[in-house]
Amino acid sequence: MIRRDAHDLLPLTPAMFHVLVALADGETHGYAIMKDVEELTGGGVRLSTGTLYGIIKRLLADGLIRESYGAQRGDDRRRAHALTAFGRDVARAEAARLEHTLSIARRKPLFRKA
Amino acid sequence: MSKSQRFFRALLRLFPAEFRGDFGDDMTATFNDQARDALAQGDRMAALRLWRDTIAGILTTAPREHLDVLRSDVRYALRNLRRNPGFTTVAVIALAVGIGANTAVFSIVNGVLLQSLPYKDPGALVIMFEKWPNTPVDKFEFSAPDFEIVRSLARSFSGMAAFRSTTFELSGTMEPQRIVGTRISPELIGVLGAAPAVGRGITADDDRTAARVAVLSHGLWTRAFGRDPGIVGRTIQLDGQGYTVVGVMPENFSFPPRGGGRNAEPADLYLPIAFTPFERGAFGMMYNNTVVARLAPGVTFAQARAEIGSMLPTLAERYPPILRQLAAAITIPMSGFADEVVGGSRRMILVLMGAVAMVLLIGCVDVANLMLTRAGSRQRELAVRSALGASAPRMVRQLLTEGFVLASLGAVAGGLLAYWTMELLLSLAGTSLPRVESIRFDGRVIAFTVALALVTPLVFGVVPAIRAAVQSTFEALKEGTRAATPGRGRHRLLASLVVAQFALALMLSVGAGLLVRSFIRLLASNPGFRSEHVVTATTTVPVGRYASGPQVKQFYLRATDATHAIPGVTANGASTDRPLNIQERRTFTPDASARELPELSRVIAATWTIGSYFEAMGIPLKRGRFFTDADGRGGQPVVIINELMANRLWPDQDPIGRQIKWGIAASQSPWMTIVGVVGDVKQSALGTETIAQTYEPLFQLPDAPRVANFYRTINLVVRSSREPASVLADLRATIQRLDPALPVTNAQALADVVGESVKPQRFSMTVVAAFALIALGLAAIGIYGVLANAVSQETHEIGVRMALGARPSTVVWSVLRRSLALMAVGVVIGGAGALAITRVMSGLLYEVRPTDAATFATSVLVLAGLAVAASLVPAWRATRVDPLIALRAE
Repeated sequence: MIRRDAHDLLPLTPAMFHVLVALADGETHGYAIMKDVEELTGGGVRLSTGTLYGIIKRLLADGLIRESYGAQRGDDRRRAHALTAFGRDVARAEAARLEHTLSIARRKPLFRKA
Repeated sequence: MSKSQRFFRALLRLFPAEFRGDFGDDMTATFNDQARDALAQGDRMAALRLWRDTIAGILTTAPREHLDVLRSDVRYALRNLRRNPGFTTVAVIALAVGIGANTAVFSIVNGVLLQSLPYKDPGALVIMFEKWPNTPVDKFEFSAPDFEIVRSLARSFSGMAAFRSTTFELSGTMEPQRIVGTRISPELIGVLGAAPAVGRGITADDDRTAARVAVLSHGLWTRAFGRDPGIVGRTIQLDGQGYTVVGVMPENFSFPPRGGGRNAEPADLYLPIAFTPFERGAFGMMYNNTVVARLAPGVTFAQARAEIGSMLPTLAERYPPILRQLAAAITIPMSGFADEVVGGSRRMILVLMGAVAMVLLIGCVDVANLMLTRAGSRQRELAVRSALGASAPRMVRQLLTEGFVLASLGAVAGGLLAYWTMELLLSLAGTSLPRVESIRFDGRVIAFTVALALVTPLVFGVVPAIRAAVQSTFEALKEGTRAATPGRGRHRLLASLVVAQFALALMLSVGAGLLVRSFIRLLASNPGFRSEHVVTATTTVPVGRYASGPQVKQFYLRATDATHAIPGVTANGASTDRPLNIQERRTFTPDASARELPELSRVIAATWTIGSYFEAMGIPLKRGRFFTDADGRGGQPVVIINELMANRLWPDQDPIGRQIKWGIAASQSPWMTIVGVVGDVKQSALGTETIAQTYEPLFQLPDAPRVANFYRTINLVVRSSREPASVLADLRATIQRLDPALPVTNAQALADVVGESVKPQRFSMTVVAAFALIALGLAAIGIYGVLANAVSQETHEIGVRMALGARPSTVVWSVLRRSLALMAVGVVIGGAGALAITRVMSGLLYEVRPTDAATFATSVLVLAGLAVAASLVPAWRATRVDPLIALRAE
């Protein structure tokens, strides 16, 4: 397989990034991702089902996540999703990019923490 | 399933099927979780918020997903089309020609029929004429008293104005030039809802005092005065008389609009109409002012027409007693201004639109054919896709996208094609189309092209796409390595498409054939004169240097004498009107010997001549004699009449020596003695009806300056043994030698004058014939493609037959027979269609009936030739099949 450079996909949309972050702890299914994103952002980002699955489709197509049937509870047959190694790389690269951007801004007094 | 779940499922249908298949269940489960939690909170607001967010989210993501699918389908289609350059090229060309032709003709429809006239609220503008029942003249303009009476009585209009166009010689600025000046009532510009861009318009004061003032058109201001900002107040010379410029109209103002009839050439400047006391009292004559009016707010067209109708008795009462009986028969037809301008062109334009629609249909059938033929070889590819999980609707969508891509390519190429063809089309149309100036490529034309690109794939793509998709899912991969042989159903479908092409091509070629035949008849029709070796040119002598009648007549004598001296001239003369453009209409009274005729049919055409006019024109003498030099100069007034008039008035007697006079029985006009009868000559274009006509010697006309203005423009006619072009040069030089300042216009061979009179017919014939040829070409491609494919599919069978001893001629005949059979079915259907649709063309045809058998027969023969030609190559190829190879292929 051709090795792809994680940086080719940057920058990610904030919503995409949040989904990757929500998956960082391990595989999980759609509703859990939504709740996680909402919790992590303190209610700031609320994904709708349409938006979420649009993102999942793109992340799957780009190979950032994969489908997983491992953690099925009872009769819950819905698919869960998990980060791939490449997805992990991309998420890290995006985090680094954001950090770097912020550090540039911090050189000005306006953006320094109080 | 709960109600909300069902609703959510319904919302999911907004997504592409593929997306729904992949994530629909997961999304529903997720939504259920959300809904459960919201309910658990026991908060109605939470549930509402959930719905709001969910619906908003789906509405924003679904279009994006569709766009994704479209993008990948387009990519796939482009890749596919690139891989089949032959198919792609033929399909795009067929569509480009069809879409291009439609776009070009639609731009005419748009400019002439759809675009409203460039005046304020043009729907409320109407135009009025006067009419006598049962006269040879269809309808005519208003006389000054009739206009003033109608205007003073009518209550249905917010404004009513008259106008009348003439030509003037504009001098003093540059080379003297002929320009069109329109005399207008002061209300006219206001009635149109326009206003001058510079200065003022024509005022009621100007009109009352007959002020020598002029309002320039923007065009003349630019052309002759370089947009001089100080133009207002300047004096210009018109026919040698000074006029003060008082205003300039805005750039977008053009009036009168071009379109059949009198007073219908855009003016270079506007002058007060200022009726003279003589004109105001000219009851029963000088019907030459066109009347335009604006309906008052809230008044309908029908109400206005009813009001005009109700005032006719009052109009007749205002006439002098002696004319009342005549006036009582007058009616005033009224029509919408736009309808009047477009007039008879509407039918011609719609026929053109019908013709190009058929071209496009034939092109679509071509593409459908190609797609179906290709579906055979594509079956494996589609089967693989189907096996990989693509659903039938998904594949239909994919194949339709391919159609849209093809149509878009065709539309782009067709748009460019149309843009270039427009120039050609417009130059061919010349002034035979009304409102040519408003024909251009605007947003509406482009929108039309885009619409075609969207609709055509539905015409040519749906059936092949559904067939291909359905078949591939059923027959997935079950076929052997050999290309799938087409099913019986596909054969039948291809055959019916070929039949459709034959039918469409027949309809179009019958239409074109009718126009061509009609045009040939028209050209062969006898105008009443012999135009070979005759040239003509017009000149106008200005008031400035030729003030009185004798001066004008003196110049005409010198001009005819000088013309006679041109080498090779065998006869020459002059007349007040150009051939095929005799405008003057008069009423007359014959002496008691004539058959009693109702007064109303005594409207006739009249021309005044100089020199050997009849000999020069080649108009035959039927009885009596032509004019001599002595006629018209003192002595008894004389007149020559045409055969039609002689037969009508003196059917059983010799009209020579009988007398007629102008006007009604009580008129003071002198009696004129008939000295000759000549053959009938068309007064207007070829194909129009001939009416009764008189000729008088021009020198018989009075010398009074007011009458002299009537014959200031003269049309010279020269018959010679030489080539027209060189005689024209000599004629021009001769006039210039006599008076270098005189304008020479309409210098033409008489044959060209005849040709010009049939320009509208020539235009529609050429265009429809060209489209028919294109259509035949497209149909040939389609027919050839289907037959070639059929033969190649039957290589095996033909090989077997050849191996069993079938002769090549038998094989050729079997191929030919099939195409001729398809043609026969197409001819029956197309013939019925042609009979139905050519009926609308009857108004465009001259001496040819829409059911003309010869035209139908010729078209069928052409189609048969086409069928044979298109089958020959496949048939020949069939005979070349090597039985061994064909069998081994098994």
